[in-house]
Amino acid sequence: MQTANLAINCRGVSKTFNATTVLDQVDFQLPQGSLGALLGPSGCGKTTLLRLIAGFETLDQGQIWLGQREIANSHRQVPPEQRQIGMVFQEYALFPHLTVGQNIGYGLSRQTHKQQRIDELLELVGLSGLAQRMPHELSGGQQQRVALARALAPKPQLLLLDEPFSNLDAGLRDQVRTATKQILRQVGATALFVTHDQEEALSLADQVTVMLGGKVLQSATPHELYLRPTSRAVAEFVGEANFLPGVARENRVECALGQLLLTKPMHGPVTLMIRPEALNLVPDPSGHGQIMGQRFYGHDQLIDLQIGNLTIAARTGPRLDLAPKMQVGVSVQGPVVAFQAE
Amino acid sequence: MVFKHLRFRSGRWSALFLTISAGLIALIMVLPVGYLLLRTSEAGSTAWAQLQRPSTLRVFTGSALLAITVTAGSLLIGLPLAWLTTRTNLPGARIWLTLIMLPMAIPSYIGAWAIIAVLGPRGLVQQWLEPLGVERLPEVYGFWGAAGALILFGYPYIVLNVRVALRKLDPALEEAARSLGQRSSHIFWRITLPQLRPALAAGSLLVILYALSDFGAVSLLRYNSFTRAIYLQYRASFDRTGAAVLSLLLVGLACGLLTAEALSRGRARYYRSSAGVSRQPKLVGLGIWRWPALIFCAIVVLFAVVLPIVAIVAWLIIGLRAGQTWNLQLTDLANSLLAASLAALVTIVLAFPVVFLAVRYPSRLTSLIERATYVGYALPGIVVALALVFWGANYLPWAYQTLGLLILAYAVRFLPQAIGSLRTSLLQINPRLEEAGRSLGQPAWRVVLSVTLPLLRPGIISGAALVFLSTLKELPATLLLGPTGFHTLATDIWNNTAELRFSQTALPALLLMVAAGASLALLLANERKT
Repeated sequence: MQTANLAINCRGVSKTFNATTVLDQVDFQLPQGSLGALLGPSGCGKTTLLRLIAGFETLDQGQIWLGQREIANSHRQVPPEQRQIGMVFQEYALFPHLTVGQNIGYGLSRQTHKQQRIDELLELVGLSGLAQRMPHELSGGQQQRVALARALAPKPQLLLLDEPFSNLDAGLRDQVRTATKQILRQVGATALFVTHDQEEALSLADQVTVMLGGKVLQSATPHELYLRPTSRAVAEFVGEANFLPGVARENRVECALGQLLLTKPMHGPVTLMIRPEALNLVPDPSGHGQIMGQRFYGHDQLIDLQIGNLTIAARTGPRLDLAPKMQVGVSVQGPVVAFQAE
Repeated sequence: MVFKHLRFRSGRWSALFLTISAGLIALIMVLPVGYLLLRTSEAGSTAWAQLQRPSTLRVFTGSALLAITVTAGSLLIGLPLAWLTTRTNLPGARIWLTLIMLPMAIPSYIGAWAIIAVLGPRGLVQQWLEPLGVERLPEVYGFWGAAGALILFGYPYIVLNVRVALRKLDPALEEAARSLGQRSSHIFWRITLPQLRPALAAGSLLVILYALSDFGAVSLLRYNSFTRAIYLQYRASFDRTGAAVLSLLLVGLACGLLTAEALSRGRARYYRSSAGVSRQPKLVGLGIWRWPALIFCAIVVLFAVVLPIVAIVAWLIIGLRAGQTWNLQLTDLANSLLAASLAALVTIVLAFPVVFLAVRYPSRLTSLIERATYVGYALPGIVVALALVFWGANYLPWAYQTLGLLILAYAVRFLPQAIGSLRTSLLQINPRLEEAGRSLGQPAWRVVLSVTLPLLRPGIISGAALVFLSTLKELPATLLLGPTGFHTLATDIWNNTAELRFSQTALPALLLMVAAGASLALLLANERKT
């Protein structure tokens, strides 16, 4: 990765609150023009990293660059207002005493085309004509869009979003997510959002960074993260996964499901990771798998299988030829990921 | 490069600046205590002798008992009144609100005088009942008289603080509790009341300090609490040591109470953290309970408001019948208003750094600074005034006997009122709003001006109004520190009362109550608007 193209670059960032290490030697990069997600369970340090980048917390160790500009190290911190980093807060933090238009115009100090810019942004987020409303007169989705417009108004180099969709109900969430992504693409913004929702991270972001216990585990495109996780923890956190033991030799591995192809050559005892949808099931009275349970969702279903003393889950489309107690033949599609056994 | 270095850490610099300015303010506030210590240490053995007298212990326990009784009484009256006028469909809630807040416009010395003039021996009621064969009414002098009078003038502090908090309370919390299947009474005790804790604590603290420092009511009702004892000591001899020792004890008592309150404050946070902007809560339907509620309001208003007005009107009539003449004291009225406005302005300005520091940068040091600013209020006005006379005469001869020094005395006394109001408001402003402002490219000071200050407005206004009212009513500092020939309504009333010209007291008393009542109405109208 070329440093010249990085919008944000964090090197060895550590942060401690009252003797609790929240971030431990974190390295994190996000290329210019992309949409990044920081994914992790609550308490993993993702929000702290976001607030460090924004300038609301001070780091204990490490450096942060915004483009070519160093904005924080352990000695100097550029104050948040001089960073040109916009932020959309989880609770939106709209100024309750200002109208929608005034909220959006807040970061545009005495610009000549201030009103024009406000109108432009209102149109961008689809709220034209609501400039005179007060924030409490808007719905949750509308408030979120005002917060987005307000953060985008001063044309920040980087936009940060802290759990931006968590305050919306499920039906609205998908719609607002898509709209938000569209808006960010339209203005060509580089943005980084924090979420604990893996579906949200995978479906929205160009780059997903998984954090756990104050460390970055993996940073990759959604496809790579899902199909080629570099650790068992990432595989477990992102999507569903079956783990089974095997013995690897070169590109092949021997396991309860027979001989399978590996994604990269390995040797000795390994743990295999197989996604449920990579398993193909065929009804077969002499098959070595038995169906123990079935969870039917409509567009797909999860089948719990017993193979020897191993329990694994398989995902198939809706079909009528599978039922509990049935014997099935099991095969694996594509190469599988393996981790060195602990 | 060095300067760039400094600028980069502006967050810490603003904290440092706040700490220094708040520390200086706290220092000015504890100045009177320093004076007391100085006087006492100079006295040495005389001071010890004074401390060991049994009368000193009696004064101490008597004052503590009075403060506790007055606070309990004020909470019992103030909390239901605040809730009834804010969150229920009480008939005529707005009128009741105005009426129950009116005692703030009545100085305690007028109130106590009214109690004696109406309910005391030879009072109006006694005169009416005499033909019916009633020889004696229950005693109004002493503990219960003083406690009763102070409760009637203390409960509005509770109402004011609790109302601000109730209006800012997130209705979603109560709704959440209701949705969890809790009964209304349970919700009140478990959800609403804990959320009101900062407001109740701030209000109680004001009432306690008020009860300890009040001079007018206790001296007129002849209850020997600290302020009366100090005044008698000071007047009885030229030796100020006895007064200083008693004053120090009083400060110690106040400090003990402040510490207890600080320990009970806990660590909870009270700003809203949910999305968007708070809705207005729904009013509770009182149903059949509106009748007891109305009777309760009426009884409070009868004693706190009607009684003094009846006394004033009756004495005006008695005076008119006797051919009494009054010179219209317009300059005195103007002096009162000028001093009160300046005091409100200066006090609010001084309160800002202290409150910002205590709320946004909480630590042991900042809490100590905030506590220190409360000490001045616990001192009786006469002690603050004496201390400033001493300091002014010795160290600031150019300021001595000027309006400036008088304003400083008011600020020392009433800063906690401004701090209490501002603190309650600032606690409820989510710091994310300030962060949002800074992430939009505005420096910290401009964010404070454009976001924090407008949102603090209810707190600023109620704080300023409180200080304005207190200053109008203030007596001892005005007497001792006013520039020569500077008369206010309060000093008029005092001079006339001291010379037992009760009917001459009525007109300045009326003017004072009208002026204070007008500002109170302004405050309530403003509160309604926001």
